[in-house]
Amino acid sequence: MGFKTYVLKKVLIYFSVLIASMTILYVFTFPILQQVIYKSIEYQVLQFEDTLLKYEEKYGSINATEIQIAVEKYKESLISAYGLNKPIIDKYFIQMYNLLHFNFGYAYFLQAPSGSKAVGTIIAYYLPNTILLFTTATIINIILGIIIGLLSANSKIWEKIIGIIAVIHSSLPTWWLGFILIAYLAYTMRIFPPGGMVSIPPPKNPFDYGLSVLDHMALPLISMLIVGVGGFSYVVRSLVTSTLKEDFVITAKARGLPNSTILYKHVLRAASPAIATQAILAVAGSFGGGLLIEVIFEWPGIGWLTYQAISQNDLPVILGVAYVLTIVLLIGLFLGELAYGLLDPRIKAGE
Amino acid sequence: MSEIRIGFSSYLKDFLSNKMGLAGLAILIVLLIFTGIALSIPSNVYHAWFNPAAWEEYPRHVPPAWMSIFYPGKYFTSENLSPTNISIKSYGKNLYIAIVSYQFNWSKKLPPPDVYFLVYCNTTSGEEEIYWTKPDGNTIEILVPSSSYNELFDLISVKSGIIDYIFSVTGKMPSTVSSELLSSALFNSPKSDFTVTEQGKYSVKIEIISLSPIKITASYLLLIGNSYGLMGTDYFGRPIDLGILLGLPNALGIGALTSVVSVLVGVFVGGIAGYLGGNKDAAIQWVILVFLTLPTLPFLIAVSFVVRPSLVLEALLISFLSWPGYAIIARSAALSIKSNAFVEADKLLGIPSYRVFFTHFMPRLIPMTVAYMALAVPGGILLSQSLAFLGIAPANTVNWGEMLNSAYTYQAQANGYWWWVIFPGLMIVIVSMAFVFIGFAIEKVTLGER
Repeated sequence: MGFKTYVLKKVLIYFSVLIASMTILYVFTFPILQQVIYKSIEYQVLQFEDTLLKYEEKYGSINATEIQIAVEKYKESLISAYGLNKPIIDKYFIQMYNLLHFNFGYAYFLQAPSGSKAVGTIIAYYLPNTILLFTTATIINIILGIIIGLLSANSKIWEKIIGIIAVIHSSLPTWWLGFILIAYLAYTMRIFPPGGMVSIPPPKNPFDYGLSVLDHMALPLISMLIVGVGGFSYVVRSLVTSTLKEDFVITAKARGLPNSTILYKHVLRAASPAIATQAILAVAGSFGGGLLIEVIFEWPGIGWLTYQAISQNDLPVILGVAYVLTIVLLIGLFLGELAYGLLDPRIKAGE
Repeated sequence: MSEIRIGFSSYLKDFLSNKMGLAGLAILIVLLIFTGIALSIPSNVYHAWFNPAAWEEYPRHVPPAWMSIFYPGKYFTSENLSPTNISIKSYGKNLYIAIVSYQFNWSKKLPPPDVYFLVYCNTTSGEEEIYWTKPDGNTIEILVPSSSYNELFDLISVKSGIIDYIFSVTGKMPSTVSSELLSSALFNSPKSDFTVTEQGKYSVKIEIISLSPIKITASYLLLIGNSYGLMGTDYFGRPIDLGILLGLPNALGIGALTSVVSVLVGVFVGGIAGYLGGNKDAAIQWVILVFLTLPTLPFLIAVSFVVRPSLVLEALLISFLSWPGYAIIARSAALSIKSNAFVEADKLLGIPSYRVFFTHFMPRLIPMTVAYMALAVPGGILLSQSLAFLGIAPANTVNWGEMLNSAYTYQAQANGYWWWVIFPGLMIVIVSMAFVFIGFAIEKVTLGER
């Protein structure tokens, strides 16, 4: 099995996983999904009627009964398009098809800055901000985690530190830490901006714009890292220590190689596929709970959007977020698997 | 695993000599005692938590009372004064006058944020007036509007009389009226434009005129403090320490239930996968992956709009999403157990596969299971409190996450209400930390790591 077959196999597995997890989500949210679809149809019918009435005002060529008939026909076509009048099996396939095409209907209240109420458009506007924040945090987290994990392999002080940050990792809510950092560093000390993504009004110059984003991103990143780094470096440390017990390390020592060469060249190389797997899990874990950090920092991402949707009972947006994040998470895990495939020499060699 | 010392009692001995584990255990015992206290609180207190009217007489968003140690004279607590004298006189047949008088010494550098008056009498009064005498002898006359007769009322309800007084002294009408402003008119000296508090003896008389005989049934004067209790109060005057106590049982409950269910399911599924191997292992791994891709928080939010979760349902839903992590760990542990010779030996002896699994295989996963049960509690607690922060919590339960959410809504971070943010969050950390300590200690004792 070469790398290509590995990728192909993974693509198939992940596609089937996508269908399965979407189905679980579909089953669990079935009642509200139907309600959302009904409301969405009503909204579309209303818009259709509006355009017809405007057309009539302009040209006056159609009368009221004709409009009524057209509207009814349009409504029926929508109902069958969404599969509402079909048996449950057909309904499932039609609605899953819609979901996989990011067709989540129309939001009740929220809208994208462009004015569109389509849930897909709203989420598409906010998602890049979330990905920006989370990928930055994850990359820094992985780098720091590997460094600290390797340092602790032959240093007692770093082992103590890892113990402490591991406790912090599993007992501190990130969003609470963020809350306190805002209160202290943003409002009392005034070092960082208290929230948002860019200063208001946004700078015109793209360079200044980037700086402003970095300035706003610093505090969320700091709080995500304080909490996050403990978990990952702990995992790296235990992987490294277990690899250090392997025979090839003893051979390397016997050959008289310096400790640092053994650690950074041989051990890290051997442990990297496992580290990649753990990194994937770390990303998956941080993604679900970390959304609240956006709420606290008013970062205009998916988490913030979800909070708005909850406070306004905007069901279509809530459903859309759940479906989209499932897909995003799956893509993240898939990329992690690809990294694993690249790092593990056995896969390349086709064993 | 240690070869020489095996068995529960030796594990227990090791655990009790582990400082981290002992610290965790001590915290947990204290928390359980407080949980017992919280459970003995009658349910009407829990209901009152969500009723702002129940907290009317409490000072609003004030810091803890022990702040007065660091800032003497600046912070003080509420004072409830009983009348020093009640006199009832009748003037002829149809005129009765009752005078409820209070006297108190005010030695603080600041006026109280608000003052509450309460006079209950058996008849409807014809007229009610407050005579407020300051230490310098000035008397302010404040007419009580009829809507406040036989009710508890504060300075805002009698604002017109006080505003007239302010106007007579400063010559201009105040632009915004708050209870703090009204109180400063009553307590601060007019010479300093109501900026310096007059210290000394105050006397307050409440006069009630009625056409029928009066009997005062209850009366007190409440000088609201600017600090309260161990942890201060929130925007509605609810004491934070009470909220933290009320939130303890369900935080522990959800955490414990989540960890037991998710770890048991996870270890069982992971154990089977590791034990069976081959295609069955691949199939189980696929199922694990499916559940791993469901984003925890958005999924729980979406489902909570289908059914409003109860405490048990919420715990089960969280477990439903969090078992895959433990299954992955258990599977890799199972794979290493499987490589032991005894599994092979059992097979050769012809022992049925399921018996090997239950009597020889799974028991070896028990130490890991116990450790992860302790380590899984914080995960459940953090998740349920995060949900509560988003406004999704079992009905009629007090949640620290919810308290933090109202702190966020009322801009506690910008207004400097630090006690409202620190204490509920710190409780989440302390409870989680107790279980993390215990879990780490168990893991060290049983697996010889850390």
